[in-house]
Amino acid sequence: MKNRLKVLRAEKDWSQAQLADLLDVSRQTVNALETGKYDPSLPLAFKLAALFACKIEDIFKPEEEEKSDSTLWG
Amino acid sequence: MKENTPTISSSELRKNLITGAFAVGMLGLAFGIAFQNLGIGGIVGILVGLAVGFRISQVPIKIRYPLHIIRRVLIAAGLVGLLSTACDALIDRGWTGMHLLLVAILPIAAWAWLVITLAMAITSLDELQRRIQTEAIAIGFAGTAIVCGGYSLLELAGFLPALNWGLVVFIMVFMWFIGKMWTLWRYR
Repeated sequence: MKNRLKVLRAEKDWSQAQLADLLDVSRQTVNALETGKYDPSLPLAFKLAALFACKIEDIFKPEEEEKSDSTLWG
Repeated sequence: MKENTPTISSSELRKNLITGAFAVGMLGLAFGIAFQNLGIGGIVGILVGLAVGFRISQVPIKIRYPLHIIRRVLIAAGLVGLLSTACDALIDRGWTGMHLLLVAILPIAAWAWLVITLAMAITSLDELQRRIQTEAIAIGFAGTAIVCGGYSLLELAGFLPALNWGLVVFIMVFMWFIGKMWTLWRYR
């Protein structure tokens, strides 16, 4: 699963620790999400979507879809 | 955001030191009896417990377990040590039947409480940390089974001497530590 978490976080000018605080998780979890090492649970994905005021599929995308949609995911 | 300064009050620190010293002191006492060195076991245990209590007080709030849960785990571990020591002292009193059975299983309730408090500690973590702990426990469980199984076969063949069963706890902790390091590396 690919995600735009790092880009979205940078747009908001938040540090990983600040995002972790807002999500009520550890900074380690935010880092693992951003690097794609860990896919979040559905409740955490909804929390992220609410925080960035977008849909879950605007943040996360399966690998195959990512390949065919280079405009959004560059 | 990572802070190295204590973020807790002095009363919290005192509680951590007392529960740490109690827990590891009692475990030291139990292992001191098991390995015929009561004094050293107790004293080393209390000193290590004080260090543990101090250390958990220094960990930044965002990356540690809630302190009240850590203290519950420590108290449960201390009771395991205390009841194991009491069991060891009472078992040679010449009791028979039901009395002997009750004395022999005395530490089981404390073990059960320890397992419950550890489960509570893991539940208090966020989802990734919970996964890391669960995977570490799975690796620790399988690793302990392999080591103990392998050792028993070599013991049966006469290559290795018989060991104290108390060592299995140390093997479990060591294997859990290996599992924790491995899973932390995977999600680094």
